[in-house]
Amino acid sequence: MTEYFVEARNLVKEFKEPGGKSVVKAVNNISFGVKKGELVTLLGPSGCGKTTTLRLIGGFEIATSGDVLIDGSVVNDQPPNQRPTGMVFQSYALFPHMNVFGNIAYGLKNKGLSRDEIKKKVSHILSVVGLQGLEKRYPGQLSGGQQQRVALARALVIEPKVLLLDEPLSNLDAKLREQMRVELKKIQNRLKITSIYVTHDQLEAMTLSDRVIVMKDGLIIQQDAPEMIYRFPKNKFVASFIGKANFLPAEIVAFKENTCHARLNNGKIVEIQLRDNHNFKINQKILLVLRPEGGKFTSPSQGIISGSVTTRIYTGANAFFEVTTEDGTFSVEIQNPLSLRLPDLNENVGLDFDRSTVSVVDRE
Amino acid sequence: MKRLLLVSFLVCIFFVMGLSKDVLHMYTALDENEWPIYVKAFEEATGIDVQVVRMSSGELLARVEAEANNPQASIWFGGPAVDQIAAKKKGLLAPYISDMTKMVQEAFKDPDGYWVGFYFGAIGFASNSEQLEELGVDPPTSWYDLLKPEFKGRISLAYPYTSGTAYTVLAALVAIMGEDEAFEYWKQLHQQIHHYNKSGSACVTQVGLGEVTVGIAFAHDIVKKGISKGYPVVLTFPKEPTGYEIGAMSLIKGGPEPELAQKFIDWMLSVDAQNLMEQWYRIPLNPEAEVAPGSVKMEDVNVIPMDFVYFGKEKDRLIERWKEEIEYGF
Amino acid sequence: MYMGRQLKRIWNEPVLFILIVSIWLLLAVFILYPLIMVGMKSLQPKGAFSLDVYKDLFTKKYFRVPLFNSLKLGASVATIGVLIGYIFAYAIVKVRVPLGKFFRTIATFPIVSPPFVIALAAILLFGRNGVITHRILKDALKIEIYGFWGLLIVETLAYFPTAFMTMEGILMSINPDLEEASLSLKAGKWKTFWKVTLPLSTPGILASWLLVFSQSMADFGNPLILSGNYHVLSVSAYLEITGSYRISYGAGLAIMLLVPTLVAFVIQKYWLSRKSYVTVTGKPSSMKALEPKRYVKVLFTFVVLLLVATVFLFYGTVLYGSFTKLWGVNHTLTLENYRYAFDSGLRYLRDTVILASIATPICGILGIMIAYIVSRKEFPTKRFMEATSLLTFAVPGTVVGIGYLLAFNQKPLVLTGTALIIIFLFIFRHLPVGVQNGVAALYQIDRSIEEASLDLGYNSYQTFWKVTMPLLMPAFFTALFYAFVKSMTAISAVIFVVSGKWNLITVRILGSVENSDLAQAAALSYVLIGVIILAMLILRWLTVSFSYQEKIRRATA
Repeated sequence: MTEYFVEARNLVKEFKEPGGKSVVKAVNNISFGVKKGELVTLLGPSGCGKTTTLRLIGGFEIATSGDVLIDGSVVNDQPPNQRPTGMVFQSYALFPHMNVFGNIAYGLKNKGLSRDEIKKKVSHILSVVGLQGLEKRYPGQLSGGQQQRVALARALVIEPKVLLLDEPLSNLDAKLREQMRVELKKIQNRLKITSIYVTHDQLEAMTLSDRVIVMKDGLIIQQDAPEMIYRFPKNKFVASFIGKANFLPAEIVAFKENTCHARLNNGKIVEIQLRDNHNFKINQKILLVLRPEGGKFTSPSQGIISGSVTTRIYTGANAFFEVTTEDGTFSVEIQNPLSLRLPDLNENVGLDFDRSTVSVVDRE
Repeated sequence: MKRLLLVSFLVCIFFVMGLSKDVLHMYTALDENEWPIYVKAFEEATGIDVQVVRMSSGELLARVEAEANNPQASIWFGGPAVDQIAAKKKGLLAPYISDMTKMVQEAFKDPDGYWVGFYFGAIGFASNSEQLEELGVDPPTSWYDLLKPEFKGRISLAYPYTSGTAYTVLAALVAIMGEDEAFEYWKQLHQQIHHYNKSGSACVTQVGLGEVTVGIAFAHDIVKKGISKGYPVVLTFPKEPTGYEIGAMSLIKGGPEPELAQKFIDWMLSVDAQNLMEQWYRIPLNPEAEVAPGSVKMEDVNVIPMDFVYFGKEKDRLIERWKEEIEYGF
Repeated sequence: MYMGRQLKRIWNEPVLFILIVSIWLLLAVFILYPLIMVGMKSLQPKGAFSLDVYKDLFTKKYFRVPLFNSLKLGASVATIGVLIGYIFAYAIVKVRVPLGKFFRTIATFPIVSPPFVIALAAILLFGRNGVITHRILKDALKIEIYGFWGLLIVETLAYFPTAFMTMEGILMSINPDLEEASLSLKAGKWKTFWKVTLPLSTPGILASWLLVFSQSMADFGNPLILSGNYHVLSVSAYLEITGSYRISYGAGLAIMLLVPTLVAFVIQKYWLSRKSYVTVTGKPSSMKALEPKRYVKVLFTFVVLLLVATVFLFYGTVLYGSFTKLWGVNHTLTLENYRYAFDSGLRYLRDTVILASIATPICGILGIMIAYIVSRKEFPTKRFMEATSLLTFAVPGTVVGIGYLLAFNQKPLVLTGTALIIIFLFIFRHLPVGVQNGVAALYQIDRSIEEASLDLGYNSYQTFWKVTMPLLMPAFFTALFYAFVKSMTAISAVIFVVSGKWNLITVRILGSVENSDLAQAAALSYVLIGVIILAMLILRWLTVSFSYQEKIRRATA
């Protein structure tokens, strides 16, 4: 059958413009799958369709065409209350007229459990998320972080087969977000729930996911494990969306096993590793994706490009540089700078990049 | 909590729908303060409950016609015969002849028994004596007196199409002057009129209050609502003949309680019931009943013979003409 | 295709499906069917299809004149009403006159009081035996209150609050930053008003104009007692049926009454509301520069005071009149009228309260349910259902009343003479209040909250009762209050369906006015007002005790 526990097949969702005239394809024929126990993230800028996709899986939107399958069966016609999904909403959506206990117990009350069983489950999940003792508080009396955890607990306690999370951390401040990222990963690992996570924050996506699905304008651009997306971004958009990237124009002149040779504007030839199933061609105009953390300073003649240092920021643990060359400005991030000699502002330098941090995309 | 609301709501529904005992449903055109006199007496005498809706006579006819497929009332009590003749023509009534109805003179009932008269009333003028004094003018004793300049903007009466009283006035004028002359007259009268009412006897109170100087209404209304209440009201009649009405009652065809309605008709023609009409200064049509002092008897007034059948038949046309030429004629 | 998917979804929630179908059934039977009957009757005067009725309507004077009169009156009332309403709103929102809150409360009197109290006051003050015309001025001035001018004054007073409330909302939602920006660009206050504030208020002004126009066109109670020789459509239609028993002509007049009001409603709802160009911030301006000059404040305060004084004068006169023995003749104070009201008048009051009390909760719940499924659920014909449920807002009471008389006096559904017809009339005539309130309130509530409930396994119906309703309690009780008040003060529709068993106090009051028993009418009116105030207090108490915020406050105190 299928190896996927949750599957989207050729999903399309159209919305009518408020004026009524035109139609917007929020989700434009996407297909993907999530294996049992996997955490997959839908990542992309706002408006890319990731939340709509999540809502289609949860049943909160009706697909214009295409299918959603959960555990092998098509669930298109099922409303949310009949699907084995549990959703954590971006705004938490806690019931303001119930206290924490009431909110969490809500999903259990219609499952025929006894009051004692419900009490046990609620207590347990509260300790899982670290909110013991707050049962009697009302949502209005909780901090943002606490509300978020109640929302999570409420979704988890019903033991859904699929957990859906819609930008759950976006309303938290930076420090809390970092904390919660770690918590979430721990919980998901422990419970092994099949999860679909939606965010625009690539750091979250990279740290949490087993696989990342990058979306733009209603389409899936790339689906891969985080390392692969980072190492081999499919196009310029993915490359700049995930992590930081410098782009150096070049042209492919030859292929050798799983690498290619590219000629830069200054004539130098660089050898870069390619992905196995690439479809680059000879003479294709490309861009080299150069990650700042792979940058090294060399003498102007030795590096692949050269220019002068226009920005120099030293923080102690790292140092950030910007080097302006004929082919544009390049950022370099040096870790552990004390061990090296760092160039000064306006100094002429050469740059090279660790080949393990370089990849290739089409120039478009 | 929800269930309780639902149950109590259903209970209320059944409550309001359910109640049915011996109830007679009646439509009446008699004054709101008058019909209880007779109805209460009937209820006491017979133990039958009566549910009454009061409307002006024209409205009543409209209601009965609207309900023709499913009449809600069984008896039409009071209001001039003219409207009930029109109803008979439209097939809305059922005939009833009994020993009691046989007692009433031919002139005062329908030959086929579709309606029977139980009182008689003459059209008169009500005048506010204080204002007459201020104006230095005598109370009107002729239709043409009403056209005097002193009365300009000081007269009120009802619309002929809502009020049996006013339609009787129109019919009387047609009977007295001939149709075209009557309309010419009324055109002039219209200039004198301050306003029209919906109900026929409203002008009497207005005369009493001094809102207008002269009102045209039935004599019994003028006595009851004007003079007997202590208002400075004076009753006069036009010397050219005046019009009159026969107050009638009839069975509504297809009504829910025909036997109870018949009982009422018989009871209303009895001496006891007819005596009650003293309180409203109406002239009873049972020859054995008493007549209140102060009320006006048929012999006292100059009345023109009125062909009610004709006026019943012609009502639509006359009203239409009145609206076109007089109400909206200017 | 997509519709097919929507249908399948609904089919999978049987309770929701049944709910939608039942609601449609109710709306079709109690809103659409009567209106269709009116239209049909006007086209079938003697059974066969014919345009005779309309031919007469457009040729005979006694039909054209009321049409013209109603339109003229409606336009005049709307224009003046909007002007006054705008001044009032501007005074309270922008100029910030002292005692603003108090004035605002007074301005809402006419909305919750019986419709013809103001006309009654006009008669008491300026009528043939009026306090001002007769006693004070001793008939020196020939003031004729019956007719166009009287109606103009009365209807303007009665309906300017509607304009006021719309405009208050608009003015409050104009971002004060815009005006501050204009001032900082050195445009004077006057210029700022003309070039910034006024243009931004335009949609609100137009909307209010249409609203007041419709209300004036549909007004029945006031013209019935005050129109004199100035015949208007609503009364003519009524008299055509009840006086001349020409039902098809009455229906034709009703249709003529319907067209302008329906057009006004459609324009207002579907065209104007799209063109709204205000931003909602709710932030009052604290900038000193926006404070108007002293004399402007004084001027506005004076105007507002004048208006409020007029309202007081009218309502106060009726109150005074209720204690007099015989208005116009004998002004000794007495409780006689109230004794009469509680004696013979009690059955009318009791009937009206019973019927209104039964209809109100049903109307409220049905309205909120419709608001819920129309705001939150997807199904074919959704927009149409919303429009239909709001239809009785747009349709004048006279038209609805005639419709009910025609529709429910024959098979398959015979209801004339029963309490049910009055109850149904109350429910469906006032449904729009619940729907509109519900939709507006739901707009404010995060829909994720209900989605969360669905997600946790509850179906739409359960979600409605467990999550939506508790959050909507304030809106629900507001809807209940308005439904109750409107039912208690209803006249224009319900006058066609009162019967022997069930009689309403508004009809009784009209009868008293007809009979020139003005003091009696005044007393009955104030008893009615008393009941309404009582209802308001009860509902306020209910709102508080049922609100979840109260519950929380108590639980955590």
